[in-house]
Amino acid sequence: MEKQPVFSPVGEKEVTRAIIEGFARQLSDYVQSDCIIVGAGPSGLMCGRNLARKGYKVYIIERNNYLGGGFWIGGYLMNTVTFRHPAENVLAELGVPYKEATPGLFVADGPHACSKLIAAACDAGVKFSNMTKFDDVVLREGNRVAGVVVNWTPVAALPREITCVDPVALECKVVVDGTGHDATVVTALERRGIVKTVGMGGMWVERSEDALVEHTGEFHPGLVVAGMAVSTTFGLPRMGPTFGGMLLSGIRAAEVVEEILNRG
Amino acid sequence: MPPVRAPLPHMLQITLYNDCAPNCVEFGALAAFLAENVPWASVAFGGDLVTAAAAHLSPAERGQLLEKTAWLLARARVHRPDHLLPPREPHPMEASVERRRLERKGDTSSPGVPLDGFRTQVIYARLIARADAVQIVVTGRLLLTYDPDDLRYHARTIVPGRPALISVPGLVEGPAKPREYYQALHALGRAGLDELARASAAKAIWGRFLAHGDDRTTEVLKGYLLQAVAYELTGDPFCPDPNCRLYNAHHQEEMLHAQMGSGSLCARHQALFASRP
Repeated sequence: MEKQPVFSPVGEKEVTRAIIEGFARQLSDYVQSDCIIVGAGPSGLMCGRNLARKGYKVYIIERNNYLGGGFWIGGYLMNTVTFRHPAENVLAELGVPYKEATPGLFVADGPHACSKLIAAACDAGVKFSNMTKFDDVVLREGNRVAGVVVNWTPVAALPREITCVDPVALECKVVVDGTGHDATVVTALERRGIVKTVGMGGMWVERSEDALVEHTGEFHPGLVVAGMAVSTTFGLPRMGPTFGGMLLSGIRAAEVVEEILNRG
Repeated sequence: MPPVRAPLPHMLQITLYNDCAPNCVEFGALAAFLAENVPWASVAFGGDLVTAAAAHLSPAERGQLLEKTAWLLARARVHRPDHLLPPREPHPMEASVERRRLERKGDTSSPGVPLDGFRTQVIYARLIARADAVQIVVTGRLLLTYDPDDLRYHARTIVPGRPALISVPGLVEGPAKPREYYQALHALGRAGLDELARASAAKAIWGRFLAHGDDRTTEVLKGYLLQAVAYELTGDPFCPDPNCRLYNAHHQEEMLHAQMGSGSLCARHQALFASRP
């Protein structure tokens, strides 16, 4: 008896066409969205997940192939990630197992926590464009941020002779800078002389996560800062790799974005 | 140049204020301690600093006061402890965060962004200072002062003067922790950067330093209240005797010894507080 093939008899051209059509359909759809989040780290993912759950159209761009930013690992490249109370409630909401290490300090498995958060964002309806590098901001009247200019990540690595690969622009109502210490979007505004950042604070202070959440907000019309980008923008004290602040900052950023969207 | 102060009145009036101090601080116990140890003073607890400052103002005036104070506090922030930078125009969001704190909205229990202690003292003086009384503010903010000797800011437990500012997070972050703490952190990885390493290092020497929310905070604060009063009386808040509560401790264990191990005053300072100079 002849053995039946396991997979459907599909040729290379059908596979290629499916990839192109799927990608092009999504990109075309997300040329305009409610919110573009730059950076798929924990704060960006959390922000996107909460907005998408409320029905907003959210697009996250990420310069790496992988999503999750630094959420996969904790300090010293060890993949246990730490959270201070009350961030364990977010873990519970996401279905991430955790344990209390010392009173008020919780630990979780990095890969488990990160993959659950990515899945939660996807399940909520967030769409992603990975291997996509933020290039610049789209500005409107009064220097309001109204979108981002992006390019393929590999373009930045090409030799100068062949880097004449023009970027494309995506429009949205609100941009969230979730790019970590680099604060790439805020820095783009700073390059134009529109805003000024303070730079990463030089002092280690316990409980500086609270300040980070406290300062998450609309830094410039149309631009919300979240996660470690907040630290760079406002020169907050340094903090270690506890991710509670990132998750709570993402939640706060979603609230601020919603306020901006509602005021029109 | 010594600080210029108004002459002390016959009966010293001391008012304690709460500026978002953590819940572990018992103001009743602090006021009672002061009344007992400085018997010739009239001691009162003035309640929340901002509420007291705005008590006699109209809503519009209160709003203006908070707006201005928030802007000044945002301007007094220290972002780089290794630099003495001129004050800069704060971002509206920084002023807005300070305003929310002044309105006591949201969670005010964290120390926030460190403030320049001397600038903060001037700002708070605008709120509550009186020539005929001594004000002591127990604050939940972390205060730093710049030291021209080593060209950097340091966290402070107390900024004496009018008002005297005593920083509760400063009691935790100011005096150095035992050497083993830093050795353990170093051994565990990136010193100071890993919360788990920090917690583990802290566990090894638990009890030998004051932690945030520590039950001993009120007891430790008592000595700092006396330092504030000593500064008013003599211009010198400190004592060189490590067994005196006025000892200027640079290490946590010294601080805990002076405030709780010894828990008393040297003969000179007992005499200072016992009767009006």
